[in-house]
Amino acid sequence: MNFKWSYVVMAFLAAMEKYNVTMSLSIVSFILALVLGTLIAVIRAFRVPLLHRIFQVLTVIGKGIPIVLMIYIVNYSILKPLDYFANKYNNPQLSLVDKYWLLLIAFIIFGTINVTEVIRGAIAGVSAGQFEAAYSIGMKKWQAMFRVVLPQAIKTSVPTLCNNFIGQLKYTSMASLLSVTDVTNAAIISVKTSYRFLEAYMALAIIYWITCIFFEQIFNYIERKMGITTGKKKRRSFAL
Amino acid sequence: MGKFFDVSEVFKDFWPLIKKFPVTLEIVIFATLFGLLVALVIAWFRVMGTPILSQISAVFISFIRGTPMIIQLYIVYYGIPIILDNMGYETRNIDKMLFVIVAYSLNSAGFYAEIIRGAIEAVPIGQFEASLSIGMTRLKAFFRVIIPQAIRIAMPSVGVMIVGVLKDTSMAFSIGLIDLTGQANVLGAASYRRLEAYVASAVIFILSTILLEFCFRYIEKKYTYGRAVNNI
Repeated sequence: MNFKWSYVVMAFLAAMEKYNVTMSLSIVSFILALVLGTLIAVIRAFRVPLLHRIFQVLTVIGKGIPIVLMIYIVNYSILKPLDYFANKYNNPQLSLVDKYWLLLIAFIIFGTINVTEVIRGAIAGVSAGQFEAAYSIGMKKWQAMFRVVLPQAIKTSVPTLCNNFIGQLKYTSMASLLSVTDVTNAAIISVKTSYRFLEAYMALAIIYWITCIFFEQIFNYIERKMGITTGKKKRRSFAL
Repeated sequence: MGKFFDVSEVFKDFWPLIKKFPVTLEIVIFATLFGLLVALVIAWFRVMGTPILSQISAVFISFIRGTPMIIQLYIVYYGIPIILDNMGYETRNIDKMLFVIVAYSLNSAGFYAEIIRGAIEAVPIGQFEASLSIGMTRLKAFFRVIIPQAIRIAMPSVGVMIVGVLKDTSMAFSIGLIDLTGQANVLGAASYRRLEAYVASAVIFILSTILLEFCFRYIEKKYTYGRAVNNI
């Protein structure tokens, strides 16, 4: 069996039809994760009595769960009760959930854990003097957090968050676990009859590679605009 | 319809799962060893700016970082047999473990190469010049002076990376390898208690991650040896 580029093109075209599924999955889940993660990071930074401990334990647990298991666990722990209710009320409609939403939930949880860790570290990195200065001009606790500290924390965490987003984008290729037709699954389905799997995966690699480079360029631009990186790399070489 | 969640089933699944844990561990260890070795070579090309090899390394790193692990795994899984077939070797009996180790090694090599490059460039250039001035060759200076200092800088990122590889091994089951996740699939399919099987394997992953992170924190503390205390 030889490698044929015609199958790569075919798989590429089939995959691109589902491009919006992968994109919406990664972008929507990451935006929601940003909001939730920031909130949890603020709760943990303020050491809100009970919630602080709960989220601390949950982050440690969540950090250890691989994305595959996360997807499976979210899937079964939501579907099982739904199945139960569908049986109880004799309404099979109840257990027919679009798996896309289950996948979205799994990625929101996955992203939230990452974002929380990053933002929490960044908040800790902002000097305590910023809080004190904000208090001294009469700001309340939450005002100091949301108007003074958090903007600085988010600025320092932008590069890491961008990396996290690209990581999450790549992990959406696991969508086929729940047989959601995303880019990966669409390409595989298109070669199911011809067994040209290598060609299909090559096409996928090209799609993901280009997408990641595209997002990397956007993030580089954002970082330059925000003045995080100057854009000019310091030239230094060991090759004297 | 039984119970939503049967805790006793989770405990029952633990032992068969732990028996497959060495497979997962094997992937992590080999991927880390080979990955670091390859990464060292790639980082050397990148740092030294070796004409063509440096560009090839840059493309390799970009490819590894820009494509999902699962797709790299499948490219290795389907690609190696085709290459070997064309060279006239028998490919049917190759152990799946081999593909997994190759794929994970290449993947971690790409990431380690960036980590190592960053760490090497963080070592002041004066260190290199000083070594040359006392008559070391470039290779000697690189391995005896630069690398030991770079290791200390790279240590935290390498720790994070190893934990990441451990978590990523959960994808290896998709080519049919029976590792921790694969075994959870088998157990879940046999007992119709998939959720419990996955939770049990997740618990093993969580515990091993916590243990690994604890170890790395300890090693990092050891390696901050000689640094100013307020620098930590």
